[in-house]
Amino acid sequence: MTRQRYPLTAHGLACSLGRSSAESLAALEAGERGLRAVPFEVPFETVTGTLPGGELPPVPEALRQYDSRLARISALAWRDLDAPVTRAIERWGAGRVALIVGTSTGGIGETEEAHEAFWPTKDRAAIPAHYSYPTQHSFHSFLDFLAELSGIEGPRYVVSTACSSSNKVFASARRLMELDLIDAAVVGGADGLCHTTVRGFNSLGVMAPEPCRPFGLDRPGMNVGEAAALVLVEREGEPLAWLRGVGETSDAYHPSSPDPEGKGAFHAMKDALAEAGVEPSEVDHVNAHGTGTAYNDIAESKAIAALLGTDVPVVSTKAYTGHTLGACGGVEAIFAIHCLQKGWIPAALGAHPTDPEIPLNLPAEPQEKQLRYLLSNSFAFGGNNCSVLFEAAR
Amino acid sequence: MSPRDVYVHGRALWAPGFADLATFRAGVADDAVTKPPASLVGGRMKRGTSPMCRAAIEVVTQAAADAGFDPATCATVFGSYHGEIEIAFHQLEMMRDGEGIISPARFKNSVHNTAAGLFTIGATNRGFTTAIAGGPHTFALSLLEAWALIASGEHDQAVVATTEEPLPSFLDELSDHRLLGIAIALSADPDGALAKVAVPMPCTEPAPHPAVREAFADHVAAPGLALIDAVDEGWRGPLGLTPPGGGPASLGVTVPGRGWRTELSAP
Repeated sequence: MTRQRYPLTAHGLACSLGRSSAESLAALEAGERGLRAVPFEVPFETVTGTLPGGELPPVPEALRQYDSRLARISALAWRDLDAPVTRAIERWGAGRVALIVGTSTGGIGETEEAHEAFWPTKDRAAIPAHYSYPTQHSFHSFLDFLAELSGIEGPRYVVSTACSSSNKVFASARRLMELDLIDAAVVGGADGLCHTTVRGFNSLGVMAPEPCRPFGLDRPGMNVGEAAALVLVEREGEPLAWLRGVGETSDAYHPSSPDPEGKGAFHAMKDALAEAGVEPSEVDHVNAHGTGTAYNDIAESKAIAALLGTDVPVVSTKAYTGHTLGACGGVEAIFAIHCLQKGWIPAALGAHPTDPEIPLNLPAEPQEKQLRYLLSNSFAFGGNNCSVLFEAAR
Repeated sequence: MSPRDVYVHGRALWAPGFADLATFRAGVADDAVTKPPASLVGGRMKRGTSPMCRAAIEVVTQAAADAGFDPATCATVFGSYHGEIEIAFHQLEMMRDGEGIISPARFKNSVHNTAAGLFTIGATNRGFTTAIAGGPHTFALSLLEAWALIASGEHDQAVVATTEEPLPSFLDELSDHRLLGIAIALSADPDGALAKVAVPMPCTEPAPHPAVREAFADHVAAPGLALIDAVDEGWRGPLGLTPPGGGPASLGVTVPGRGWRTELSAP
């Protein structure tokens, strides 16, 4: 059964390429990379997809209890959504607009700071007075912040399946719209840089000491990034692009390594196409998960080649932004919308020379090309896979 | 789309002292029950996992069995307010000691969907799973996600769990809740169902619910326990999940927005 399509009507993005959608997309077009120094000390060498421009503006004084790096990044992304969401609330009602957003670690950075102050003496008096776990760290804290900021009163929850989180939110929102429980939703993802993830991925031996090169020969691994990427999806509206299909599968293989044959990834993409009644040959471009790790890129390339063949242009934009974890699906959805609108494919930075085991078409230069269907992949710890199919508005 | 009806077919509980719902109902704690077995998942795979993770796997497995679902094919929704909070703090301590390097085994088990991933591996389930967090409304919103999977026709069977472990000492002034996992098995099939469950809806006034055992009254999973009690009591009519402003384990913070309720009826 073909699922109903829904219009994506607005977006807001803050990532290492820029502090707004416009800045980020201009940097993407210019081929800039947002990989720079880690904003805190770590005992190893790496670069991260750090937001540009130094200190982030604080949240509004009235909402100071929510202040965190995550809330600040989310507030930057929110600026472009403020007017469209206000219109959506006026049109549909505050209770009919949902907030369903992915994150992998919430605002854990604030707890890291509080814990560092506490640890030498183990004295609670050393914990900064402004620190509040429920409103700064907990998974839902930044959603409460966004709800207060926007007036959204519909269901709000976090999907936290690590790096597939902000692809899966598109399916969650669509189900609630299909069931007539909501008329619009702000979806996407947000994660801020923190010691837990930067050191954690280093512990797995997958962090690159230099900018990542997804699908490239002798690629050094991945770079962690940070972002907030929010997309407004509505029952009706003027589309920037259409949400057409979502495939959600599990590898059932390993907690942190992908199925080497990419079977789960294959079925996620296949299911997304089936929901839209779109043939594999109709896909014009793939925004790959493409973390730049040895295992992911091989497994994903096998899945793409098996389902879509080896001609479709494949790009990992993590070479530009770093891997923004729970936000990556949202970031790449906004890049997908832009590519579909503009008829443009970015260069596969770092993919040349290419790993000979990867049989994909990885454009060395940006391409001007009429695009209709674009698949965007996100895969995660636990073998959690999600592929989203977008369609151009025209 | 007209939503399909959704029915409760199974339920499960695990807490220290109570290996399953039947022993919990009997009311006598067994001191030997200290660790959730989560035997669906192999020993090596479970190494470095938290009690919360193992409890979540255990209750989802038990609820699927109670409903007669095949764990290899049913959809699963794993809810938790705090997630892998014990591992998160263990990692913070590792950062402060020695060279500041954290354990890869702990890190891979630190994500909110650790239990979801291990369940799919243990059950060889290549289908849908997800992990949800919604603060004090976590159970209601996890139930909504699972309900929508079935009502939309996307899946015929789903198991929804909410599991929470004690907070680490750094945070234990906020709440002294203990380890508890509950799970409910839902299906589109009315045959053999225990109750029909309506869509969880926001509410502006608290709705009634059975009083859960006092030791768990402030637990994030309490609304799930109340739903299980209601199903077993033959409850009909509105059923409160969480009141406006937060409810169980809101940690003293008023949560903006409405509460949640559902309704139970005869299958």
